[in-house]
Amino acid sequence: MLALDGLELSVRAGGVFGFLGPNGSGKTTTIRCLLGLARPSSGQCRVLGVESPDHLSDVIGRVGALVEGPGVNPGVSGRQALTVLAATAGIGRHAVDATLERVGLGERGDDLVRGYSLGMRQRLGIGIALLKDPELLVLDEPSNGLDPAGIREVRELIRRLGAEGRTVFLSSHLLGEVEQVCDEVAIVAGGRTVAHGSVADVLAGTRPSAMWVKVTDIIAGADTLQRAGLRAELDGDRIRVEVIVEKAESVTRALVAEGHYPTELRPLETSLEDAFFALTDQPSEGAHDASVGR
Amino acid sequence: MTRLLVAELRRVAARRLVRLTVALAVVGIALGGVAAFVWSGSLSEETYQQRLADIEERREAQEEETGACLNANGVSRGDEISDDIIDQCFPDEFVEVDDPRFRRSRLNGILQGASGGLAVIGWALGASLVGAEFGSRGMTTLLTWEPRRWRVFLAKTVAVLAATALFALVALALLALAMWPALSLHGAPLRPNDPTLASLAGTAARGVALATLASGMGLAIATIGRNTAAALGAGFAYIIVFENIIGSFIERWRRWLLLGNVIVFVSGRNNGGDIPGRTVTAAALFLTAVAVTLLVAAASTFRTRDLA
Repeated sequence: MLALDGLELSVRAGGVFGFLGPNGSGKTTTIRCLLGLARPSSGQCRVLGVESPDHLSDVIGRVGALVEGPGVNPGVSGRQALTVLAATAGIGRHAVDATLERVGLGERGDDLVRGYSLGMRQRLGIGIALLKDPELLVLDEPSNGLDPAGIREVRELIRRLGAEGRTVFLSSHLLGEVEQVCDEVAIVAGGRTVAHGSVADVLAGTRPSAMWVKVTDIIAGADTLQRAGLRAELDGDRIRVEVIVEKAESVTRALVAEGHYPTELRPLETSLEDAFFALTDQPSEGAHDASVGR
Repeated sequence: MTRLLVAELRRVAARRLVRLTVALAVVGIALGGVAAFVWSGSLSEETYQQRLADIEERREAQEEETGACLNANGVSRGDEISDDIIDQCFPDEFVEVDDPRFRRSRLNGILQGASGGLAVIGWALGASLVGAEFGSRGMTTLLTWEPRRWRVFLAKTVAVLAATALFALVALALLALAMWPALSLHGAPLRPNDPTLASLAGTAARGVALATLASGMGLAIATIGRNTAAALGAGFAYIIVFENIIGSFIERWRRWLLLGNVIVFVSGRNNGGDIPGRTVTAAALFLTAVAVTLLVAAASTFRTRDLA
């Protein structure tokens, strides 16, 4: 089965990069390839400037990762899990304690992972990724299982990490989260990149060519616009007119010519969610649940 | 590599299964020592010789009675004897000397038996220590810290083999120590066939080697199957199918099966067990070859396969 097909992606150093795509689009496969967990049958992956997986070991000390939840033996304590991993990189106990505090597990560090809630396990996973104090963080669904307060904490943490100059590669199905914290995004579908750029650019690329217009008499206003050759229809207390932002002048001119002075004229708002569904041909109903994930 | 090895040894030490196994082994060994002492007793050599002479007399009398009974029933040498006559003429049990002393040969047998048990524990430990890593996806996490898979596999293998060898060595040493009160207080003068201290050490060394090889095999199969159950299931199926069925029906295959070679190896006697002509060295080489082949196959699989 072809999981990735012609995926082309580059992530600039520094800042937060959002990686979006529907189920089976190849997000996790991409991350696995980047981290040497899976070998692509063809193509090339580079991490921090070196080929992965062949030379990944040269830079792995600068890469922290959380792939599909925390992979930790449930029969050990959180502190033991971190201590053992720290030993592989010569990281001291002080860093382990600091990391546990940072992810809010300071007091539960000596409990067995088996007794952790889903959210605590996720925090431990984030702790494992942060333990190396990495310059590149690859986080696959870091907010999974967290309560709203936890989600906000993680969001702030990611934003802070990006602001510190680290590169955060964030794969998430929470479109709102990506929109709020990411500087750049890539959207993948069917193993290919369908959009890539700054959040603003991706939104602009998918913005519908329509505007909202408000006039005192919306019925007459809509009629005027239709007679001027524009597609206009009523939508609640406003008119939706099919026109690109650059041609907004034609709307104003037609309305004013017949004595309708616009009280509002603005382009249709587009969220990343809209962009996502437009780009991946997914139905947008119920978009807030887990229909968009790995 | 040293860091990775240290980390793996820490990982082994952190496992509750390992701690539980060590605790149970210590308790079992202590109970075994107490049982050996309680179920043995001291006896002077003079009393023993006296008992031996008495038994010899009773045995001769028993034989005479049996012969007379057979003659009375018209049974000659070489005749087939019916069950009725057996019941009537032969004693329910032949007399034997009651010698409650704890001899070195008994200690040797206990060490050999314990070696078999340690091999099973070694297999399970090797399988579990790597199988649990796959099951919990700890292996995936580790590879995001050390992506050179051959190093990861080597470190895990060395850690598991070293931990099992140490465990088996300490367990057998403690077992011998636990038997020491029985041996020293309820012991008997050495007989020509009793094992020397060097041969007891040899038995223990073979036990350590067997447990270590078994842990390597368990680890290898768990790596190939990517879980603990695969290794335990493969071990169970092997014993049931190959050893029991094939080994029982095709005698010439026995030298290529594990159990017969294990028996020869643990016994320390050439031509021991049920493989005619098998030497201890050949059995050791065979077991080592099986373990190494499985480990090479596991390393190759681990190096090339994608991980979830």
